[in-house]
Amino acid sequence: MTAQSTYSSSDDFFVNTADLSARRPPPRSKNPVVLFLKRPIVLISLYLAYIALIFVKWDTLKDWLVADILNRPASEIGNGLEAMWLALWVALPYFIFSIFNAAKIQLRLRIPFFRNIDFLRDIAQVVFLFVVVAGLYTLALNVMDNTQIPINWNVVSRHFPVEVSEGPDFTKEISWLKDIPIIGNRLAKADVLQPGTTTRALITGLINTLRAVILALVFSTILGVLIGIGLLSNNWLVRNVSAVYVEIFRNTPLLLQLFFIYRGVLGILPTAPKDAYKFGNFYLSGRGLNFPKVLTTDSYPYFLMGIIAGLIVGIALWRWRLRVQDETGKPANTLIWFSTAFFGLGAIGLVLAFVTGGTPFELENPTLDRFNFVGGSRWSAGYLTLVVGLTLFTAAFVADIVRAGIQSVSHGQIEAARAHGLTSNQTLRLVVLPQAMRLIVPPLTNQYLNLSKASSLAISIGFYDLFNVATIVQNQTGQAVALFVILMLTYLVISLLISLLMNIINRSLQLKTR
Amino acid sequence: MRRTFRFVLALAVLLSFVALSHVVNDRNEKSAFAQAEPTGKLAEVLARGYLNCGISAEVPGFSYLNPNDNTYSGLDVDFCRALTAAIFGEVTDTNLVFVSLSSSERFPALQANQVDVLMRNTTWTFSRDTDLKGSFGPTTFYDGQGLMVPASLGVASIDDLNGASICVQTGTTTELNITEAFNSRGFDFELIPFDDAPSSIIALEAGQCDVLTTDKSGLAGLRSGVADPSLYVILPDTLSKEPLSPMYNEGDDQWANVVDWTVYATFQAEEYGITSANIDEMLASEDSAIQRFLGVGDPFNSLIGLSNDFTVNIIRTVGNYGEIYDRNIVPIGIPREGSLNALWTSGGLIYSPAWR
Ligand SMILES: N[C@@H](CCC(=O)N[C@@H](CS)C(=O)NCC(=O)O)C(=O)O
Repeated sequence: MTAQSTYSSSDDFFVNTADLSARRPPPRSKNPVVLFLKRPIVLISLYLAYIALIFVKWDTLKDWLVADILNRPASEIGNGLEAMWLALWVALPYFIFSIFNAAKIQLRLRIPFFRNIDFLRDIAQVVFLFVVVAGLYTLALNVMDNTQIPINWNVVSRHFPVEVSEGPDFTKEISWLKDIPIIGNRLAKADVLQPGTTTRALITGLINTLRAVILALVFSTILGVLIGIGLLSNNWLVRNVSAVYVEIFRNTPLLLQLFFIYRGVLGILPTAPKDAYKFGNFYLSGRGLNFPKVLTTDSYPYFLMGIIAGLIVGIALWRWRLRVQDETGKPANTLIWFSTAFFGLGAIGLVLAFVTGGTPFELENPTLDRFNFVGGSRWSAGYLTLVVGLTLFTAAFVADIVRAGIQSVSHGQIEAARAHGLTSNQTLRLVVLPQAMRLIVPPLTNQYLNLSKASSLAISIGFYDLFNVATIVQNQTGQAVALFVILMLTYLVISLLISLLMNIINRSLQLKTR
Repeated sequence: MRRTFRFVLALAVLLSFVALSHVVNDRNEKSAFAQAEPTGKLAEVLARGYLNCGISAEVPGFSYLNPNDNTYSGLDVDFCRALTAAIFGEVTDTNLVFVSLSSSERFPALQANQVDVLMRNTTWTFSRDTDLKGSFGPTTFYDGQGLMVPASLGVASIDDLNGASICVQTGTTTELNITEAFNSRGFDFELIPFDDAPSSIIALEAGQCDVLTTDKSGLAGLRSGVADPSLYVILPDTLSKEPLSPMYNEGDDQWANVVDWTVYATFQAEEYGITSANIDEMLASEDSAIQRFLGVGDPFNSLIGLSNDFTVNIIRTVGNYGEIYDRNIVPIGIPREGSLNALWTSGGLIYSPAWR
């Protein structure tokens, strides 16, 4: 027993077998056959031979290894179930071996199993895992036995029969696909990526979802931070307007807000495109916002190169200035150095473009047709509603998180900063915000995740997001299970990406201890 | 090392449990379950004591929940009632449950056995019959897809609609047909999908789209529900065939028979001139064909697994097809005469196989 165990009474009762087995090595067998069989190389070869047998002979073996046990004809057993059983049979000897070993240790220790803390922990884990897996297994069996839901994963390569009026046109070839190095040619030939397939429609839906989510993330953060600071303002009006905003948007359902914007707010705008509000070449109506499309011309690469060069030089300067500040204590003024480089080189690129081939950009203006505008770009009513709705809703939560974060910085810090002669602006920037951010980022991550998932409400306002497109497929083909698995995985990946990004930010903000 | 080992141990015990429980379970089922319990949807419904009938509840004329007195009415609703009467002898407060489903909810609900039958203006199509593993009963209403536009637009036909915004319901045949119809004409168009009928008609009223497209019967029903129907016109174009039929899961012949012959009974009753008003006189009829149809004499009708007088119960409850049509479809402004929905003897397609 270890020294700490004297502190806790429970450790006197429960025995940590790891310590015991280390102290009392197992007795060794003298039997040469046993010794031979116990050599790892022999065990592993036997096991590999067994696995090889199972794999090679699976087609005949499965009749009695699966079909007979399940008591149903082999033809009725789906691929998923078959794979699970294959895995089970492959793993079985290993499991038996492990159980045998565990039992041996338990027997040798000569302490009752209910005092063996490792054994108890194992049991708890087994029970928990059993509940989880049995639950999933029951669900899967229920789908197969008690419902008539067909499952066919090949739906993703079928022709998608409905128009998707938003986002990249899924009925067109993806021209840049074959330019991707190495895998490009293979991708361009893949069945599922051909024009008009369900996968392509789903990708269009995914792009629409991302378009809305990314914009809403940016806007809700900006708005939320402003309102959060407003909540702490000394100005009575600003403070109370912010508070009312937060309460209203936090305490009503998002779906209701989306309907309100879609039917109520957009309903006030003129609906017929011909009566649309006109701001230059921007036209706003109840059907959406039409605006000029920016097209690039042949001289555009010069401008692009200027911008990229500006970015690289700007970042290099930024880091150099930080180092200078570290070494000499001179103010870094990073932003000034960065923007000078960035805009300077960008301007040079622009001039170069004009000199070589004229304007790098052209505008295509929307023009009114009989029913709608044609040409130009367009944000549909559904898209506007979704972005605005998600932004307003999430901003309310962000605001409160920002307020809590700022308030968590102790007042003494602010006073100390002021006593050192920092301006109030510097105090906020250098003392309060860096500390507040540490508390803000984790709950902010949650809000971002909520936002990305709530985007699936788009189906109620006629916007073709991923969920909507998937619902169409599911309805037209009946493949509910396949589509829902695809949906879940896609949203999972989006969520994980957001979490990853936020974790990176979070880590960079943590106190750096040396 | 210890951790891996412990994990493996856990998994091993677990998986052997799963395997074991499966074996035990299956062996049991074989011996006790299969013979004792009668299988099939009809037995299931009878044992349950009520029918789950999938309807829309949003389309006047077909299935509509009247918000004032909380009653359901419509052609689809009447066929739910007819089926309930056929199974249980009568419709009571407890033996018929209406399950309201949107266009996109209906097939998953049917596949998951949440409803026993769909009477939900569902078009009989090849892919639903095969891919969706459904089966269809006799068509209760022959329909076609139409287009409804505000009268103020001055549109005469689909050929004037290049560039229009179109409201449609997801999960329907209509979103497929409209895509095809416009693509084949090389027209530009914007499709705005909605999940239910009310949303799409509101969007049309709000001007979010220029056109609303769905089954013509549905259009007529929705049009009858707006404040001023004269503001909207239904264009003469018919884009598709929409034979609206009862739908159930495939693989249960007895249940298929019950649903099918319930519908046929309403057709046959009209052909014989039997109505809910004259059914008692008809029971005394000397005509042997009518006697057989009404289950007078030999227990001929009970071959289907229902009571011998199930046809009588249907007619007493909802009347014949003509009565159902007059009660529900005429009020939304679709005349029967000369249409496909007339009885075959008057040149329509409403026709029952021989009752013998
Ligand atoms: N017959 C078509 C369309 C059926 C359909 O969904 N019709 C609409 C309008 S008539 C409807 O019932 N909507 C009611 C609802 O969404 O609850 C089909 O089977 O796909």
